Amino acid sequence: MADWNPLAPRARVLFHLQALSSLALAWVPMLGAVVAGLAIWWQVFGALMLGAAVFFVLFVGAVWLPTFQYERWGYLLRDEDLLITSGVLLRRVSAIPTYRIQHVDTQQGPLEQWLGLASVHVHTASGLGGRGTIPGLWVADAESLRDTLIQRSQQAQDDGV
Amino acid sequence: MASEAVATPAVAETPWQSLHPLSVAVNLLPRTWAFLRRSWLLIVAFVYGRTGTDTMLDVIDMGILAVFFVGTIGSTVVHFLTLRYRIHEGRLELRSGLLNRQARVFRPDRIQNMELVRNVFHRMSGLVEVRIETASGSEVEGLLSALSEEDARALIDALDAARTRELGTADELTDEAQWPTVVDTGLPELVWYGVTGARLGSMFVLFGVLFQLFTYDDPQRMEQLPGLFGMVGAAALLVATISGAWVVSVVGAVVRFWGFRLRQKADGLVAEQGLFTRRRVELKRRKVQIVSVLEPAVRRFLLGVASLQVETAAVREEGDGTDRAVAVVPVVANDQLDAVLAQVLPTGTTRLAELSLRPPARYALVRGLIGAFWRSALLAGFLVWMLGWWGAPVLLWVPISLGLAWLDHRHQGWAITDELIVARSGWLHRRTELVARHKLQSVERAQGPLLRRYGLGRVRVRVAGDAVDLPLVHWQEAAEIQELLLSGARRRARVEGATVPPEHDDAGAEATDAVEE
Repeated sequence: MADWNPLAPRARVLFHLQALSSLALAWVPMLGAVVAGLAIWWQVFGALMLGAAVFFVLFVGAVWLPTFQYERWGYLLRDEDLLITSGVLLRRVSAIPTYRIQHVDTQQGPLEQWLGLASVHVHTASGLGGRGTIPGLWVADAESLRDTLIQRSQQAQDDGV
Repeated sequence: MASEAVATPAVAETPWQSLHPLSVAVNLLPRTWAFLRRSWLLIVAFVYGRTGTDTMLDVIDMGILAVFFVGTIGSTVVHFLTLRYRIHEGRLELRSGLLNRQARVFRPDRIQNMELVRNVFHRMSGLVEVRIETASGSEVEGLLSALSEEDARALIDALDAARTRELGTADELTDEAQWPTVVDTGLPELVWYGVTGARLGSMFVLFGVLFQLFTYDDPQRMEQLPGLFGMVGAAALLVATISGAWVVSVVGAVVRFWGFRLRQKADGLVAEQGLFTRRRVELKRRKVQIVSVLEPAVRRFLLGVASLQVETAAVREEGDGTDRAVAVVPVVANDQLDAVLAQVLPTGTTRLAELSLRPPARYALVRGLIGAFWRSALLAGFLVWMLGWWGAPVLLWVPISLGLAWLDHRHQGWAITDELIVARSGWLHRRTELVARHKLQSVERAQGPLLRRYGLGRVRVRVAGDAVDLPLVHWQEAAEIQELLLSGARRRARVEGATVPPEHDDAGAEATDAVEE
């Protein structure tokens, strides 16, 4: 395959922050509840040791996975289609003919706004979901890509269905 | 530049039309039934779950049920009072709602299919429900729950005429009597369809229900079973359960497909079916996305017939096993299959039997065997744990499922022709999916850790509303397939789009909504 366009370098920071925030806000409270339950119904020391082990695995995953995640992301805009590659464990290459695009969004969450990044969401009639998403682009790049995709989709000669 | 006043011709306001006044009565019972189905767990808990004598709790429970029930009735009345529709300037407009008002506009060329439904109450009152579906969302976007037959026919005809104007196609045969019949299914065929349609799953469910009933008040009773029935009795119970599953399947098939007829209407298809609830689906052939040929082994070998499932982009979640299927042709003789496929596929003729299918990658067998082993071993282990020695024969399922996985692998295949993408899977339940190449929305190839170990990949072809998976191929071959499909899709779309006037090229939403708070 030709050279993939990488995400903005700062996307690596974004992925790390997203992973750590999900660890802090979702995984740690859930783990705490399970450990508390085990401590009551089983034994305190065993529950704490088990909790610490699971937390270590989750923490290493949150620190380690985003680096590979960043390296696996890429996109390639060709004459008539957009290719998106992603995934560490489950690797995926999605190809979307540009004339099938129904609409294109750019989005910025709080972290992305802070880092000056944006994501591009491509929608077709097949309901691509997350498979049509390119996260972690510089805002200018995201807007440029969005405009190009919209322009090309308007060359379609049917309703895209 | 001097401004120039342009006199726009005044467009006459088209009067709004409402539902038939009997719609409240017609809708009330089905909606009440739907309410009971949704809340059956709460009702059962209320009736059987009371252990104390706290009347306050009873009042609260009854109150909750009453509020929901009154809400159901209220929504039926509000639906009748507020829903209005009309065809204005070539567009279907619907408006409804009391507190949350909604206005919806449909472009006729974006309508995927139109359906006329007559349940028992509709037929008693001479009314009909009209369902209009586009490619957006997972619901029926245009639901007119009770119109007189004349109003419904007039609406469908007007939409057809508008669609014809916009798409530049013509329904030459406007007289229904002239529409040629493509498939006509009689009662004997439906009975055979039902007999061969009973599945192991239904039998397991029946067994489960019987088991629960038998041990409801005494969990130890299972151990007394051999003494109570003896081996002959147990065998009779097994035969009775299987017969019960067959009866359920036959009755279901007859009720659902009674009087099935598929007719050709110029550039479209009309399917009619149903004993108690009569359905009539009209769809344009150019809107068809996937056609699936379903050939369970029993039907394939004993009866020489198949079933067809025709899908458009209108996705609907019904939860009764017909999700996404807009039209199901229950019985098609093998020698008529190509002729029927030629009527339903947007590409026209195909010769399925003559297609040379390419096999999956050799290592795909390993993956299939591993998956089959774990699934069957877990099921057998669970049943042995639950039933003791009664479940021991289920262990035989493990080698059987491995054999079926091998047969499945041997009979999988895929093909990409100039017009079609074809994917076949299954031996016991053979399924062949056909997609017109110009309908492709995107192509995806994916590889998980297990597939990567064997250098395999999965190719998923997405069309509007659904997707088709090709059998597992080598990762490099998956990349080549992706490129092949992308290069072909553009050329085909140019050909198809050439007939569409440019003023309808915008790629906006299928139906536009305006909501006033």
